[in-house]
Amino acid sequence: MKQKDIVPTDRERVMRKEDFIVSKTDLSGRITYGNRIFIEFSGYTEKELLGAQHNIIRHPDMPRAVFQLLWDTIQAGKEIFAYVKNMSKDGGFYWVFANVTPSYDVNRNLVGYYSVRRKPNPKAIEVVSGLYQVMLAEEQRVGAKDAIATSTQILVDTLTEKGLSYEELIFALEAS
Amino acid sequence: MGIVQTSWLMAGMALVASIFAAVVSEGSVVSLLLVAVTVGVLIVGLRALKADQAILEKMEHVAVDANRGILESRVTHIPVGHRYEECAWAINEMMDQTETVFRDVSTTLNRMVVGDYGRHPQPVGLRGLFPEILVTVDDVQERVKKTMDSLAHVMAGLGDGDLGVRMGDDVEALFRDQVNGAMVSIDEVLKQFGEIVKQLEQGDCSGRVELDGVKGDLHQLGVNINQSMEFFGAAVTETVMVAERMKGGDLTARIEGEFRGMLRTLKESINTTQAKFAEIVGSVRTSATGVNSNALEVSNGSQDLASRTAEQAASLEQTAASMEQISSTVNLSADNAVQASQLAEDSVHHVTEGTSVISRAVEAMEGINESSSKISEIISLIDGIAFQTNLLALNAAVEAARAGEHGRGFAVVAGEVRSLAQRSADAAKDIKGLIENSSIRIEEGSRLVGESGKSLDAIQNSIKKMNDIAREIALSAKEQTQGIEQVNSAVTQLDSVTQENAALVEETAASSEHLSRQADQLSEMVSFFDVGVLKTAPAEPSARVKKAGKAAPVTMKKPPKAQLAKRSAVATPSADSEWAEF
Repeated sequence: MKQKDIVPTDRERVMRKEDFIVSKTDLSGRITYGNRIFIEFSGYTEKELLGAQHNIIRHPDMPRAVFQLLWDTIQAGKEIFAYVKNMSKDGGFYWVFANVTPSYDVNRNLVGYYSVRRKPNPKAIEVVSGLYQVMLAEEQRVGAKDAIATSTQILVDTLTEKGLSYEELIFALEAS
Repeated sequence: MGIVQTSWLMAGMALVASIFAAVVSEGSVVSLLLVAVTVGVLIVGLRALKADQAILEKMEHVAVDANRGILESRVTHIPVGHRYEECAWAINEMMDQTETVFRDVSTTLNRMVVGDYGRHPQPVGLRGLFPEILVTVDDVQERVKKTMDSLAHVMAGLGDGDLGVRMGDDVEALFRDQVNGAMVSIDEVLKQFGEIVKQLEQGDCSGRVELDGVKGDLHQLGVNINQSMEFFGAAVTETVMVAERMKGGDLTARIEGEFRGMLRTLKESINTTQAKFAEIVGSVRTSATGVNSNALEVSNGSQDLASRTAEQAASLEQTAASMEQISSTVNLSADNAVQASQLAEDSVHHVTEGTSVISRAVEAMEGINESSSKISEIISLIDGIAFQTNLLALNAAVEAARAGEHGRGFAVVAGEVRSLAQRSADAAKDIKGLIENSSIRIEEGSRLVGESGKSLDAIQNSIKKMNDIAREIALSAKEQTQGIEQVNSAVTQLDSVTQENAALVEETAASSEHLSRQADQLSEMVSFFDVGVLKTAPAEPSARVKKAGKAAPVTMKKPPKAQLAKRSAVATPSADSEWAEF
């Protein structure tokens, strides 16, 4: 079943406090490992997940700019924290507080990425979902060509307005 | 089955043994389960063993990697419902927890290393002791952050020059006490520095840093400051001493201390200034002497000049009087000359007249002479006629004699005639003599008259010359009168100039006296200074004296004795007693 054929539904899976999603990808984003919680929340079997692009669980409500930021950051060898709305195989969704870190081999070569998703602070999700909606609406309004730039600007403006860095905003939201 | 199955069995047993060993050492429930499973496998049979081989190898791989410190490996493609499924996921979960903690701690610490305390470890979802490590790391980070923030606050304070900043109570006591202790030390020492500098500002160099208990660089700094104060104090003290002695007129004092930098420059400047000042004072002293002696010379010269000017004025007055006399005399001479000229002209006139009379006399004389000659000729003729007559008479007598009586009468007449002729001849002879005599006299007279004429001519020439001379005398007298008038006016001018000169000379005398007094004062003033041994050669002032002597050679034909004495005084380098004479 192809991801684009999935129709998003309102069914939400809420992560429990002890839930701990772990997944790994290679440099191109193909899944090389997913733990049982990932299997559970995504709704895919391990076999389906392995080798698939990580965006198999990408929810259409997510602004493209967020993934742009994510990939820009981790490709630069840095970690990133992000609130992400994922889509399960059945079209349901689940919010995660994701942390992606680059993986290196013993020779310090970048070989892939390691992602941990935890239960997000619900208050944070309220704020973030609102922001994402605005960003997404803007992306759809300006069209594919200017989508990321315009949407990124909204994020940047928000940060500038609050006088915070992206990570400071995330930690602030998480601690709220 | 045969050999192959036996080897599998052996391998299975070996694996069981190794896992069992792991179980014993780790005491893990999961491992116990593994043991159970493995035992089960052994029990179920070799076939099952073969099917389990793949997943077991994967688990072994993960275990071996973990043992080597590689946390990335996971068991994948775990068969659902397989009896090792739980075990495999348990291993994965263990590795997930371990790797996540490792990454979280590692990332957080790496950022702390570069001073970034903004990343917080995420304990959510971790189990057992794992979240505790992260909480501890976050706590450590928080403490380090607070400490570093507090330290940064202190450092910022230091940077802003605020030494009163201290670490807060939220910083660990040991570290806080160290930092705050250091700050207090620095603060105290710097306060002392401040005090010392303040004292210095008040001109007090006696302040020193109390170095008890002060260590390291701060101690060294204190030592340096104390040393600097010592040097500075010494320099100031010496400078003050030199200045004090200078105030007392002693220009021989020098700063002797060994100083560096600006103090050395100060020392050298003051010493050089002292030396130069001494030199200048010496020069002034010498110059003052020179000026004094020159002024005296000028003064003396002026006085001399004054008296000479007065004499000159008197002489001029006399000259003026004489000139007037001369003028009147010359005028008289001129008048006389004019009269003489007039007289001479008259004389010439008379002489001219005389000359013409003489000329006429000469002419008359010549006429007489001519007449005399003619008379003489006539007389000669008469004489000749008388002779002829005599001769004829003689002849007549002879004839009368021959005519006898008839002729007697005749003879008598002839005799008479003859006597008459004789007497005529005699008279002619006498007249001729007389005329000759007269002619001689006339010639004499003529000669005398000619001579008279010549004399008159000479007289006339002389008179003319005299007249010319008298005219010239008159002319000269006129010119002389003009000349005398000019001389007179010149004398008058000379007189007024002399008066002015006299006034100027008086002023000069007064000025030179004043100058002399001032030079005295200057000498007295500079004599206040002690410049040590005078190095200035006396050549300069004596040269000046010579020059002054040359400048006024007329008035200084004989320098006054006093002046000579003073010159010699100048020529000898002065002793104070000699200065007192001025």
